[in-house]
Amino acid sequence: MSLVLDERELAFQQEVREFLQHNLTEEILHESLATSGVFPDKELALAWQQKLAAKGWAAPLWPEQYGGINWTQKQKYIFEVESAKAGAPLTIPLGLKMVGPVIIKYGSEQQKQRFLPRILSGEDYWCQGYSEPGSGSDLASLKCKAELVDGHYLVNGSKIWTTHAHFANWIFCLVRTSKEKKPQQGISFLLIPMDTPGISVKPITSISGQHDLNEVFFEDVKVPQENLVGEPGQGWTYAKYLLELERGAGAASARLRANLIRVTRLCQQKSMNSTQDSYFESLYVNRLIELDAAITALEYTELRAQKHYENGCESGAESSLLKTEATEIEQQLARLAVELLGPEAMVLKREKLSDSHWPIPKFQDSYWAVPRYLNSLAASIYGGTNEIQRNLIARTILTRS
Amino acid sequence: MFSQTDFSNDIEQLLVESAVRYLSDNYDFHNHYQNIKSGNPVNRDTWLTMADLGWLAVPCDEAYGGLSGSYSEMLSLLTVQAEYLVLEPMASQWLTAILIQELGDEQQKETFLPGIVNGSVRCALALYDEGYDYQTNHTLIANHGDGTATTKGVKSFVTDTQDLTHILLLASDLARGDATWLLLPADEPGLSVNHYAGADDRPMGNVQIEIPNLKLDTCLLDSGNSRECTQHIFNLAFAFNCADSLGCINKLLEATSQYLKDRNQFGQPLAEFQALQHKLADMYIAHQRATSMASMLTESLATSDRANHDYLLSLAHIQIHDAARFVAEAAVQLHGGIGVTEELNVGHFAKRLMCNAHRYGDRNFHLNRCNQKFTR
Ligand SMILES: Cc1cc2nc3c(=O)[nH]c(=O)nc-3n(C[C@H](O)[C@H](O)[C@H](O)COP(=O)(O)OP(=O)(O)OC[C@H]3O[C@@H](n4cnc5c(N)ncnc54)[C@H](O)[C@@H]3O)c2cc1C
Repeated sequence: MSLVLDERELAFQQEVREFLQHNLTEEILHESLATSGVFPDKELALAWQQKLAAKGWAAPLWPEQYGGINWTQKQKYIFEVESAKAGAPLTIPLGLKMVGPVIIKYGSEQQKQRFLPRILSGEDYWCQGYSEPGSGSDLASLKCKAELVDGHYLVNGSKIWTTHAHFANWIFCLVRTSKEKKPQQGISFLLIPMDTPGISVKPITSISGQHDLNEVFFEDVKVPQENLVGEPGQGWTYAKYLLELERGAGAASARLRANLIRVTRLCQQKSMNSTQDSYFESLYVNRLIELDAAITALEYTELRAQKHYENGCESGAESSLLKTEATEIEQQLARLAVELLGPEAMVLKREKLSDSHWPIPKFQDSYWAVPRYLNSLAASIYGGTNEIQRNLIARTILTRS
Repeated sequence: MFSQTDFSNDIEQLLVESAVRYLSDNYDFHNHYQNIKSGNPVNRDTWLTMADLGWLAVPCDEAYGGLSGSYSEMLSLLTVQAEYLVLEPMASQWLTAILIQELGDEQQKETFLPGIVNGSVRCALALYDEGYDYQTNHTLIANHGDGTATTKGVKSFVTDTQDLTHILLLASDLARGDATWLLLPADEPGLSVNHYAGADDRPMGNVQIEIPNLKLDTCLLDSGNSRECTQHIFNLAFAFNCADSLGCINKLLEATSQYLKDRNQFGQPLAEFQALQHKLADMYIAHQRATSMASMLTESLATSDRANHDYLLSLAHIQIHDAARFVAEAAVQLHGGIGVTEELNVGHFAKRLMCNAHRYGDRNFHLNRCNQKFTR
């Protein structure tokens, strides 16, 4: 795949641009630019998802028969790039990009009929119950167990770092259904309604002051047997499929480039305020260029990965590479933004600052930078830490014949 | 391994050891976190205890009930209090005391220093208009010539604004064109503070000043060389800030090495993974760099040649806060998910370091100050 577009692709690009122009209202754009967390706010994401769904574009990863679209890899890429450039919010991946594809690939027909339309419409809001207090990087050691009792699974245990569990009405969980020789065996993929008696959710506040994360407790939670996806004991396979989707899908470089533009703007604003602007700029311009180089390399790595997948190759080290690169560039950008802020970098919660007492012009971009930096520290931890990704990359290289 | 602490004398050692004892018994992270959540990060009783322990007296002359302590003692104590995330504003009080000693007249010293020693005077330093350039000051004093003056301006990002009795204001005297310090009662009509919290939960505020007829006799501090003293006060503020950051770095290294020993994944302690050992080693290397810079600045402050301080203190700021960012980010990373939550002290140290890196000048400001040595 290359960045060069043929006529049909150009027409598609135009269609996407027009869609964005009409649907990305001032209000949505404003909210989207203010997003500093891992995911956009629930309301914002759902509002945007509805607009996409109305056009039939909410689920580019799904086959047409379930409400997806028959886009080529290139079209998906163009869509992601244009959305990022325009500053459109991301949709919440938990349903559309995570549990949805697993149900499509491994779920029963009945599960597909039941769950997929409700993901598309935003009626169901999902969260991901993988990690546990004792099982993070070593996910396969998970202990939350589900025993089959009278046609029901009885679930006991707890999950942690569950993003948006406080919004979700469903959780997809990895649970232990049997004890086998290898820890990866005996894990199953179970879908659980959050309003089932015995489930409780405890909030966890992040260092950015935001509430995205939660701890979820299960005490004798009864789940119908039909909520198991695929085969019992095969959950690890499904989980790995999903983790790779989480790590490597999409066009992170386009989002990063949009961020680079914001940081560049911040740099320009700060230079204008600075008494020694040429000095200030010379200090930072080179760093912006270095970041642009890194983003450009990532962009072409993404294109090469797409081609690799199109040729039917498995995603392995590639998704780890993309995840590591994207998150570390994101952190460098966030770091630079904070560095540019000057004394404003000391303030995280701005609601108490009334305009009249704020002598410094209030840049949207400086509002965003501090929480963005703090949240970006999590990017090399979630979805499998970057140390774990490096382990995987090294293993792949060293075992290659 | 280097030993953790190097004391310049017995008094310093006593002071630091008693501080460690008091803080480890009374100032654990849990209390700190509760105080923050209650919206009262700075505790009055703790403050008075610190006064009783003699901490506030360290920089003050013995003649006013102080201990006539050295900069080395002050820096050591600041490093220790940062290790416990103390938010009671010792550094701001000390700077106030030092400024009054350098620029105040006898009456002002007698009025304020004993109050600083016993904790009853609480003062914040209103230094910056915007940015970090304290030499171009838009907060102006127009002297009427009859002992009164008009004072007008806005100060932003003022640190330690809780429970204030006074505000120490840096302004420009229109007639003299020079830096001028005013010690104003916090309830002076025409003075207002807009309070907010720093990312490190330190109480902060922007100060608005509009006083048409300020009586200068009690509040003007000008019994010394105000230009030289201003420069010295800023250099001390940079040094105190560096000492605070060193305390945070100390604790992050300690917490992370402990966590690697305690946390198990894949059936073994994290400490067994070589990738993490190397990261920890890099943290240690950065930590040692910062420690050495702190020794350098302690020694530099002890030598009387103030002319060299500008350059050396900026070097220290840059090196210590580069190390700080590396250590803070590595500490979060090595803790995994728990590292990005408010419930663990690691994130609080990381945010304190982020603020310290921007409180009294940032990397850019300090680079620029160093740069002047070559371009002048
Ligand atoms: C913002 C955020 C959102 C998240 N959302 C979700 C969610 O929605 N659902 C969900 O299930 N989980 C979620 N997670 C959890 C995430 O997947 C885990 O945090 C991650 O897998 C790491 O596990 P841990 O936190 O237990 O860290 P640990 O596994 O304890 O790791 C601690 C440190 O040790 C390192 N380490 C561990 N093993 C090795 C090794 N073998 N070699 C080298 N280094 C190693 C790690 O890289 C890390 O630096 C989220 C996490 C975050 C921070």
